Amino acid sequence: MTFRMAIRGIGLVAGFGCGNEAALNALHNGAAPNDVLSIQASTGGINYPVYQADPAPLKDFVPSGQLRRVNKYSRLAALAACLALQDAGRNIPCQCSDIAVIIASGYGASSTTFAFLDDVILQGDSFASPTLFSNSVHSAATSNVTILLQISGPSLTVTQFEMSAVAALLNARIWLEEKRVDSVLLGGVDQINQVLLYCYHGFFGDRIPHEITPLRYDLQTAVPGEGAAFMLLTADDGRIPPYGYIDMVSWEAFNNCTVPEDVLIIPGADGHRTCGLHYRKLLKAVDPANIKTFSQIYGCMPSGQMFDIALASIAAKNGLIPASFCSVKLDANGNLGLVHHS
Amino acid sequence: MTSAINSFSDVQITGIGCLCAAGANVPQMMDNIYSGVRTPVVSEQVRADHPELYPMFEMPASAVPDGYSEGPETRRCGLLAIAAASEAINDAGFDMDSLKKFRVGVCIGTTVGNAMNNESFYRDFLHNRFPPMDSIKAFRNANPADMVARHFHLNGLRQCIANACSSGTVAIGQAAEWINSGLCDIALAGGSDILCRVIYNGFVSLKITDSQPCRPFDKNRRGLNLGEGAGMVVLESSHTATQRKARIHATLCGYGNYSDAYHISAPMPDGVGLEMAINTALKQAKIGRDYIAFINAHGTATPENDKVEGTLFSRIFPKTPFHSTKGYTGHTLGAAGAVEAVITVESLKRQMIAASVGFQDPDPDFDVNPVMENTPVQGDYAMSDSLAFGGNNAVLVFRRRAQA
Amino acid sequence: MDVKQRLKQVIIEDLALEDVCIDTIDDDGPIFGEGGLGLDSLDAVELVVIIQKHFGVQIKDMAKGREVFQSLNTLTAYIQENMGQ
Repeated sequence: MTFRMAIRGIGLVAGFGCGNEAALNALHNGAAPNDVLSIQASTGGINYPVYQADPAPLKDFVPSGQLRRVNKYSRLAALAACLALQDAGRNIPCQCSDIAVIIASGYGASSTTFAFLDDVILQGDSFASPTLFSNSVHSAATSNVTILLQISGPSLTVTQFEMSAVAALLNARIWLEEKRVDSVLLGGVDQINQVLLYCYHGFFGDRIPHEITPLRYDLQTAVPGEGAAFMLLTADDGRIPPYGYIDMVSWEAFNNCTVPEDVLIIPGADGHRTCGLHYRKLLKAVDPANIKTFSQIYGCMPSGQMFDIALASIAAKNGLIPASFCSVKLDANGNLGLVHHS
Repeated sequence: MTSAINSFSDVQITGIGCLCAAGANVPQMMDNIYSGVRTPVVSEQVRADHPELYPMFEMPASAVPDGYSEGPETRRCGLLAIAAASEAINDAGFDMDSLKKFRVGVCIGTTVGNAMNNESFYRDFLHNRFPPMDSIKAFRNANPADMVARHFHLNGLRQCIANACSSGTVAIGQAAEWINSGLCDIALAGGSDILCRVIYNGFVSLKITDSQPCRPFDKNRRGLNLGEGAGMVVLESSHTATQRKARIHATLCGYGNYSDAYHISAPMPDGVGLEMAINTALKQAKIGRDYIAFINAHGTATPENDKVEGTLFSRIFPKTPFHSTKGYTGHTLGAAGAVEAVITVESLKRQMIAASVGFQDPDPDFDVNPVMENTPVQGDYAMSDSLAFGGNNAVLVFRRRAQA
Repeated sequence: MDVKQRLKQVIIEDLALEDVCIDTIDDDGPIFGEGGLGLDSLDAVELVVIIQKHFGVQIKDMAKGREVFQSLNTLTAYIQENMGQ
């Protein structure tokens, strides 16, 4: 019998706001980019629509004095983690060691690294900030979540660009199956900043997208997004979970993979043309009525598959989509992650 | 209350590879360590403007792989990982063709290898010099796990672990779990990290670096020396190893992972998280503490870290010989746990641990001291522990191959 | 603005001490630890950079730091002695 993970709680923060009500609203009504960031390119000033996330509601869970040194990257993760725990009916802070924290991020705390470099470059090596440095490692979100929520269980940060979410999920499943812990607080978090937008411009040019159209596979319509999506997972212990089960997680080679039939497919297509063409090829035999994307709700980010799974689970709980679906995420290196939900 | 861990099936270590300032490969590194040789240098490449110069364990030009210095800096972690993996793979009796027949996972711990900290790109960006995308393309292709997988034509699961200073230990532990859960037959696991200005400036700003060669556990220790390198192991299930008639270096029989939940840069003084990780690893190995023949400590030589370990070892391992090998390698960050796993496996085989170089005067704050000379050890089990920035504690327990 | 006042201001701003009111800081009281401003070891090394940035004064190592960080007054005195050097 395959081991399945029960989803006990979900927490999200993204451009559409935070919490499951905001997420459900976005699922019903859609969600457009909520902000515009400006960058300088060689061709002049560029305004980039983005999905920008606000972690301010974290102060409802954690005293603001504890947050003074915590960077936005960590705050986004901590807010989504708190929302997931609250949704699952757990105490906050947890003060326990039987929860593991596993976080996936594509770009990590890049904004903090750049802030650190600002001081070094503009003022000198002696002006490097130890606080910024401590928070600039990819693991800062995981560390801050364990500290703020007082979780002393195992912790893990994985980074594998678009495959980060499935990588994290595989580890979560192992830890639950071997009973290393009773629960896993699993999340994905990524940030946007001017450097990222400058790179978007560098790669994709002056035509700035205002709307992601993921199923127009041959168009470059990616709009950068940031945020955090967390789930509280346990083993299937007989109690019916509010958000169903993740019953299969697998890492596949693109060339060797066929997507399952007779199940709703949630491709992680998010407007990037290179991957879009791969999705088109992968899904050509799938009835378009059986394909649904969510990236247009939260934006484009490497750990986006965590959002796909979380949003799809909320949608399924509210009858918007069937409980049986399969999230499919691929990268430009021929890797593919499949996550089946029931 | 934490549930007891069901079981951890033994995973065999059939290949080891390592390159760092202490040596360009495993035999060289072990020779140098047992000779008490250490060569921290003030780097010519990684320079910063501080009142003091801080020595680092930089890899000499003779030890780095081909193409290392010429190519983009962002690829260096991956190149070191490939070099260490090559040694490990050969050591395990594979070549590229024979390896590809198996489902092979790649799990690599790193700090610099994933960070978008290309200072020259950002400097140009900041000053509106509009840098081109070349270094970003290079960055997108430089994930060390991807680089290793591509180099050896492997199609399976690969990921980078970013657990700061415990990444190398965690990567090996996680990869072993992949094998036990059937995700792959064989795993290449370890860690890789390089020196760079961002890391140098960061650690100097924390005021935990020593301007002298570091002195782990010494009363007068002032801080760490940074280092660089990569360590990789080939892991496989007992079944696969037996079928292949592979030579087994040692068996990985326990992996503990717990968090301090305390502070973003300082370790928890009472070492509770470390103790829990140790207990878990021992429980999986089905042994009591007395069976541990020696410990390879994290031993960075910062006042705080060594006090945590010294105090804990005084209480729970009062008679167990231990050493820190960071006096020979420096603190190689994401690679440290992997480099030290390799050293631990070799030391276990040889039943001898190297002198804990840099230690001279006992610290009155704790009751145990590392070995001052190369010390014979007797026993079948060894432990290596790592404590990370932000509070992750990771522990591996190894069992000596059964002697004929 | 005098050095002490400026010092309090930069400590509050750069260490993001939202809950501390500049007028109620005890100038002779401890900066660190119990009864202080609630600062820890990471703040101490950050404070070294802050002092360098705003006053151009260097604190060589944390042994010196522990000495001069005893109170606002001791820190102000150290800054005043070493400014402009």
